[in-house]
Amino acid sequence: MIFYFGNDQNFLDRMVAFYAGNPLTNKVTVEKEVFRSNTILDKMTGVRPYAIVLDFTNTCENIEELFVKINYLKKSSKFRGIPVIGLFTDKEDFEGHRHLFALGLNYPFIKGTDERILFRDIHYLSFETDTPFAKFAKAQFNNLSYRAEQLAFIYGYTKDSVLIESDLFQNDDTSRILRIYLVDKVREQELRSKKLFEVGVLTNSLNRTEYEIPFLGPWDDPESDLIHKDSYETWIEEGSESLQTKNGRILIASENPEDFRLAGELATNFNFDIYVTETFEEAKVYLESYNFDVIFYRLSEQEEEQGSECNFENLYRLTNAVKNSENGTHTVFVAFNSPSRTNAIRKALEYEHIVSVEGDMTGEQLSSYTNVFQSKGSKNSCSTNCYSLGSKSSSLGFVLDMEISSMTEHELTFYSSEDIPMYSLLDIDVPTELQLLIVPPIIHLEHGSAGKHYMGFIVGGTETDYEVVRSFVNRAIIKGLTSFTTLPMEEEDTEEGMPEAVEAGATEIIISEKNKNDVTISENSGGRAEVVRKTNLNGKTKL
Amino acid sequence: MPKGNLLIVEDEKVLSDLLKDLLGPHADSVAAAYNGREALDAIEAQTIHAIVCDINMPVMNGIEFIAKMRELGHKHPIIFYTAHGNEVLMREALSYGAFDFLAKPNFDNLEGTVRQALDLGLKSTQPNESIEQELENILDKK
Repeated sequence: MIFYFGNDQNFLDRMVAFYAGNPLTNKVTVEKEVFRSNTILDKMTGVRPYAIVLDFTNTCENIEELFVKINYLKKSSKFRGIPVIGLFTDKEDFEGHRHLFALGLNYPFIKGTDERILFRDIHYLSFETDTPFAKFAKAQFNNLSYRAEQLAFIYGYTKDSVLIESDLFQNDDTSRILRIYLVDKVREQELRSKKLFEVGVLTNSLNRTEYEIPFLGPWDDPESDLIHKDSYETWIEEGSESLQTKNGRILIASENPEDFRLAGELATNFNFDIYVTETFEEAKVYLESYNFDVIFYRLSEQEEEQGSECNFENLYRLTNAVKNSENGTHTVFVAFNSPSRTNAIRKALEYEHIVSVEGDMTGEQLSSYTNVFQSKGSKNSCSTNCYSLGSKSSSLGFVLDMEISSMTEHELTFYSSEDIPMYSLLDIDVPTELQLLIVPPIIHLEHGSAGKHYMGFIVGGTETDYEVVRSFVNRAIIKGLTSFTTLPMEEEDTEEGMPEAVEAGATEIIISEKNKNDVTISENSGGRAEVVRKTNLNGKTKL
Repeated sequence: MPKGNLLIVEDEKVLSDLLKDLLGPHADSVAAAYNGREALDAIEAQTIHAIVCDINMPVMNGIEFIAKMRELGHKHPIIFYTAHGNEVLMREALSYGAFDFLAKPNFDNLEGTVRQALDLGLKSTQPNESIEQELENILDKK
């Protein structure tokens, strides 16, 4: 089942008709709900959909809050991997919501473009198989160099560093070129990574890396783009409404998906950094990386205990991990569903800062207990010492070198020496500004000397953008390309001189760069290159 | 005001008698069982409001006893009175619902804890403690 949240009945009817009209997809059902946060969360908690389509063209909801909540729910193994598609009115509308990609949106679609492509892509993102893709004219290139940007996000700033969340695999002590917002503007700078947080401890992306901010040194050119440490510190200290420090950190350990929803509520109502986990191993990783003010631990009920990880033995291991950490016994544990009383637990676990609650975890309890930490926070808090920027300014780009091997109006293939996880989103600007969603390839791709061979769906364009892409591909097929750049249209490249792009369902046409005057007709093999799916400890992919 | 009936489950007769004498004034009656099996029979046969129980005992130990009694639907509060070195078993007892653990051979807090357990057993409900207050106490101590 696909959930469509919005109020465009015509769009819904076309989606339903599309899936019903093909034997490969006719088992897909679509359910419509008018856009309301609670309905979405209720629906998701009840039934796991294949995909969620959010129609932003007719909503006045607090989208950011909704995304935070959806994302917390998606951290539960039951809901992990559900693709979330956003429908926008136009490019401006999409740009205004760009930060939502840091909060869980996976695929942008601008209404007015070919919906059949969207419907097929949703099917592929949901099932990764049996999708009746259209075959488009393909230009093949002899590995043309290009620089894309991998979308990443600023988690926050400390006194001398910036914490960046991204899906690109990072290493300690290496430099990267970033386009990043510092003090007053976006700057392109080379930053050195200082600390890499373990994969798995992250809120939304696959990793979080701390980068040193390169301040202006005594021997640097004062006219350079480097910033003065003083002005940076003033910016942080005085801050503005957009720079907020979190009160502290909370971890919720539970195997109940409903509690992940409670985490979302807590994250939107309190200025705490909220983490959730359903596995002991991940909880341990969290504790190795961070200090927490409180850990809300939901013990599994006796009937759930078979194979359950949320038991007293693991609670004991976690309290031990806290005792052995640098800050000792700062963390308070609240154990829900506990058949034993507080004193018994304290003695058996040899840990004083623990409270037993007989009943199950509820939103009211979590809020009420969090209030205690908020009110007492100033001297006890595990302050994050990290200032977050308003989300709309928080996106940035990692410069990513690649070699383009082929392009259609829907897909682009390229080689890269980087490990790029599936479902990462890249920004491209050739032939026009678009996004590239990295997907498991729909045709067989061999890796080469230039690196791993990737495929991305070209997304986020308007009808005009796709016309530009179509024209670019056609021109590349006919005239060839020696560099992957947008060249001014020449006289002879007008429509009359161009062949028409191959329509959906036709045979794929491939013209190689080295032999561009020969037209090779080949069937789409349907074969698949080996998919290297990068995951965190929980098997979470970007989706 | 009824004080409630107490069951002492302890395989060492000398200690069992000592506990009986010590806790007698705090309960309406004190019964004794010398292993878990006898204790199960006792709670089936008479009205018991709280239990003081050793962990290491012959025939049926304290953990097997609490597991079996919970399985049979008995919700009595149990105070485990146990020697040092039983930490693993103590953690195992937690999942069955332990009221408290007290360290042998000390009697510190024993009477007060037994009174609380008997009160709870008589009311058959958990006292309505404020978790918020407990959290505040922890944070104030830190």
